[in-house]
Amino acid sequence: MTKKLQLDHIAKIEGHARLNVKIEDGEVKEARMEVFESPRFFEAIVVGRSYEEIASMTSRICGICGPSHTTCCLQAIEKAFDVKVSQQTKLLRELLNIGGWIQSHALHLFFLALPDYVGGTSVLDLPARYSKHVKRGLMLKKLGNDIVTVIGGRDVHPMTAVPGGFSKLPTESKLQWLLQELKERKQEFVEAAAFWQKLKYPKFERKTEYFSLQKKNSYPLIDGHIRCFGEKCIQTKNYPRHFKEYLEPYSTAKFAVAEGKSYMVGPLARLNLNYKELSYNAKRALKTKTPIQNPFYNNVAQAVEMVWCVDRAIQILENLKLKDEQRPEIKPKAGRGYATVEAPRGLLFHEYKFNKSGCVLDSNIIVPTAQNLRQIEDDIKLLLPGILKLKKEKIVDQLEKLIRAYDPCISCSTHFLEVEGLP
Amino acid sequence: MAKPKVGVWSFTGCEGCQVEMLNCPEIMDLLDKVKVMRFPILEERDEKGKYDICFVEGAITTKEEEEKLKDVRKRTNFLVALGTCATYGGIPSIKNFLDEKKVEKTVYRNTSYLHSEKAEPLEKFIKVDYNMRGCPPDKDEFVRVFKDLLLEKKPKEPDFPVCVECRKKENPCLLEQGHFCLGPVTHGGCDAVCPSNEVMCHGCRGPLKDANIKREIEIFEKKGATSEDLKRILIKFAGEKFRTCDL
Repeated sequence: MTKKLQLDHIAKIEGHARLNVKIEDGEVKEARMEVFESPRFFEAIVVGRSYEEIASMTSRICGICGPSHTTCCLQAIEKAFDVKVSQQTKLLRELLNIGGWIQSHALHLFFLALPDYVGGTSVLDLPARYSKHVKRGLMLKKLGNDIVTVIGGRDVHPMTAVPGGFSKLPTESKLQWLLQELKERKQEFVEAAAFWQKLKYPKFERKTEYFSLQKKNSYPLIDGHIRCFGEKCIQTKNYPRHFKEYLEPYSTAKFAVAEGKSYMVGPLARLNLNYKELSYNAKRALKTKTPIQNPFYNNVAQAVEMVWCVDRAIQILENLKLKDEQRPEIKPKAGRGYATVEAPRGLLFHEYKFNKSGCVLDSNIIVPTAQNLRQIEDDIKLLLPGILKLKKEKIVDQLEKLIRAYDPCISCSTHFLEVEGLP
Repeated sequence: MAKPKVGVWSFTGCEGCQVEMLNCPEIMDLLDKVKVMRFPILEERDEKGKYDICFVEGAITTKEEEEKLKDVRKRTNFLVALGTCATYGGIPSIKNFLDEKKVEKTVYRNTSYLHSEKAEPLEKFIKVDYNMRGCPPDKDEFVRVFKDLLLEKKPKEPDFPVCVECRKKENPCLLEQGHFCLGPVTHGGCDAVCPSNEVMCHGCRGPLKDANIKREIEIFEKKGATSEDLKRILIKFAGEKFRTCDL
């Protein structure tokens, strides 16, 4: 499997991204997202490690979406060893990932993307009238942190999710407290969504493929089949066959295409494919008709998803009858295991090959941002001709705004973007 | 009095340390008391000039990062290594113990335009004024150090093992239960958060200066750890330090 790979995923694109654009006679010839982030070789460092420790290691791929990596890794392990986890474990994992989505979406919306829409260079110098929105953002983020802490033991790199279940269950009283908090703060999420819906987005529509998980009667989170418009389901095990990764000489991040074409994953893709599975409040929060073809609306999709997160978390907590249960026994065996989850930024895939004692022989991890990179480049090629007449700063602003709307792994979305090749 | 100039720098890591900084409930009040010169997760502003305090996250993995770090040191009065990657190399440093070329080939087919050095802690290249260990660092420790620095007081690094806080919380001892828990030899100050959640200590805060790692290894061996197990356990967050004694 790994032999087919041409790109390292693990080198996240956060950090040093550069956009290189080539324009000839007013025509955009080339748009390159160049990523210089130092590779960390996660797929290699897990080799030789026991199934018991790799989830805590892969969590360290990302300080924002640790819960997604942990859950995806655990589900791949369980698949390899035919471990069936309890319903309670599934629900607690859902909660953990809901917390993760809220943490990530709130951070992106209120700390990173907001200045793009209301002015100011960063959240630290926003126009004063927006300070209440930042405060609200902080509060929403804290609620995400609280969920992850109660379920996972800590807000960054939570540690209680282990193969087969949880090392320690949350206490009933903490779950009750969480439920109370969520109910009290619910309206804030609705208002935040209304705020994001009301902001002015650049007019920019294009058609592309959207991929996300899909599951009967539920909005996708930690399981389901992979689906795109008009396509039949793609089985998780076939993921690497449909989504080809490759390396560009100008980037240390991997790129991915589906059947040779760019595609989009993440909140907007999920929303477009699963609108009818949103909760009542989340549906009401969305004032735009789906499918939405404007990538800037990824921000709106995030805000709407946060409303769904709260509704779903409340639903789980109200029905959860926590019981002490034995984790299923895990008997390692030789073989492969794979899993997909919806990380905050979209489809995440983990695959491991184990030896008979449960040590990793080989691994393959495909992260959402790598899948969006080609789409970002293609969008830039479409967006640019329409704005070329603007001043250079305006063009740069617009391009940065577009790239950030994708919420590419964190620091990329905040690092200063050098645009080369503009006239 | 002019507000102290504070900068945050990020090298190779997951950026979870910066996220944890933002997760401190009092962070906005703290940032209000200083002049934030740069904070990459939020913005990239002025990189020039002198800094009173810098927090530096991530391991150093390339020559360019090394040069940048040395430059930051020159311009900084008090420099804090933030998190385990910065203090010990962290999870990325596992590759230091593997064949570099083989590692690169595992993930990249064509490695001709790829260059990666070992993942090293800041201290390998510069003098660090405070090591804020932990993956992620502890929020309370961050706030304490930040406040100390605002008061121009030299912050003190915790110098007791994880076991101290673990016992205070009356947790059952995971080592006694047969787990290869690194609590006895690892820097405390994390409120024993992992053992309190029934997960053994993986040593993310690195070994104490006088830790008897040899004795700990003997205990693990008595409990059935093979030499392969020992390598895996010790080479994780702070491999270079934990492996001071031969296996």
